[in-house]
Amino acid sequence: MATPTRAARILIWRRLGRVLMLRNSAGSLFQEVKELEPPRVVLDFSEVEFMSRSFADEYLAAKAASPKRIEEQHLPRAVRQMLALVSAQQGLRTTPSERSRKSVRVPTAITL
Amino acid sequence: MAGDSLPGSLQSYLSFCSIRRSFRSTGQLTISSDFVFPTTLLPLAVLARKSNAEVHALNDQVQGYIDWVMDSDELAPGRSYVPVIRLPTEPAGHEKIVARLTNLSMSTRLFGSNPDAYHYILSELIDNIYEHAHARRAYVMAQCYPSRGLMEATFMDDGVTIPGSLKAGTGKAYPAGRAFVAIFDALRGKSAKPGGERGYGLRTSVRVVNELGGEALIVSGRGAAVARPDDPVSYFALRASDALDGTLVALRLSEGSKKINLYSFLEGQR
Repeated sequence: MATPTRAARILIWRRLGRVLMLRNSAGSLFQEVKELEPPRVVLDFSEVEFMSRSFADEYLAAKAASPKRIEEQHLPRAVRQMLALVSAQQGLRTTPSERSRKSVRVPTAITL
Repeated sequence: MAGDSLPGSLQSYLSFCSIRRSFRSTGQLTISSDFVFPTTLLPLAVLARKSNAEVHALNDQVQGYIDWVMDSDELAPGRSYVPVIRLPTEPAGHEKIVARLTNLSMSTRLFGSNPDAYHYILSELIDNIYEHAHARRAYVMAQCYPSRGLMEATFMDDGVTIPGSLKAGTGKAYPAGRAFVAIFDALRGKSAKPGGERGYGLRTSVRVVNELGGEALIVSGRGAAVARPDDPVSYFALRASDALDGTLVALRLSEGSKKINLYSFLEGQR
């Protein structure tokens, strides 16, 4: 029987609050993860109420780049939905040459 | 377009411009009206602090209100306002302010049925300030008007402006008189971010505000835009004397906002 890998656990709401707003907060979270000794880190999202799009964007990028094995637990529905949305958006990123070149009509402004 | 037919939030900003013009010749910052919204008061407070001047109101009640919101940095729960607060220059330390803005909305039930939408709007606007504005200073002020069933939250920074940010990111220059085109581009999703990453923040947060039945005002440089529900966005070219050295975003929301599924709505915006 395999011995379970030792894991560190971070209770997200205690570390960052219940509303995860800023991109920088995700960056600092993974800086802390990086400095933990165990190779496996459990991120417990109990009591987290909301994750912003920019936090999710930074979180997913940092998670992909992390040498640690990251496991999420108790992900609230709102957080799962935002992570899924941003993950899909990241998959849609295009280079400038692939962007639509359809011309857009600039609106007329009212001069005050 | 006559002054009275302009959107209310833009009229509030132009009230600030009028007081500022007068200040340039008289040295006095005087509010003559009997009512003042954050969109007038926040840039006025910033100007007062920068100029080491005081704001005076002809109406005693308005003067009392100004004294509360401009001289207090207390984020006490249970109040109907968030006073003029300077956002920290680094993202760390914002939590207390965000928590107070969140509590304000919850206490008035304006966003009671849409807490995720409110959090989303706040996060996008604050993230824009930290990521793009390169501001020395950024401020927020919010006020609920329970008897009117209304809330206004105004954000302002002294950064590079939307035209300046897009020029830095894309190389496209916007002449001063066409700053509104930069706002149009930002609302289309044009991004200052590298690598072709789409700019969702301002575009989707304004759309969420509209979906909730609210109005959003954006002023940046000599450009302005007002987005209202069920109407195309209106763009304005401001006089040079009414330009803003930075960006202001004001949101006006009413009670009884319909409940929306934020994530389904955002999914549909891709």
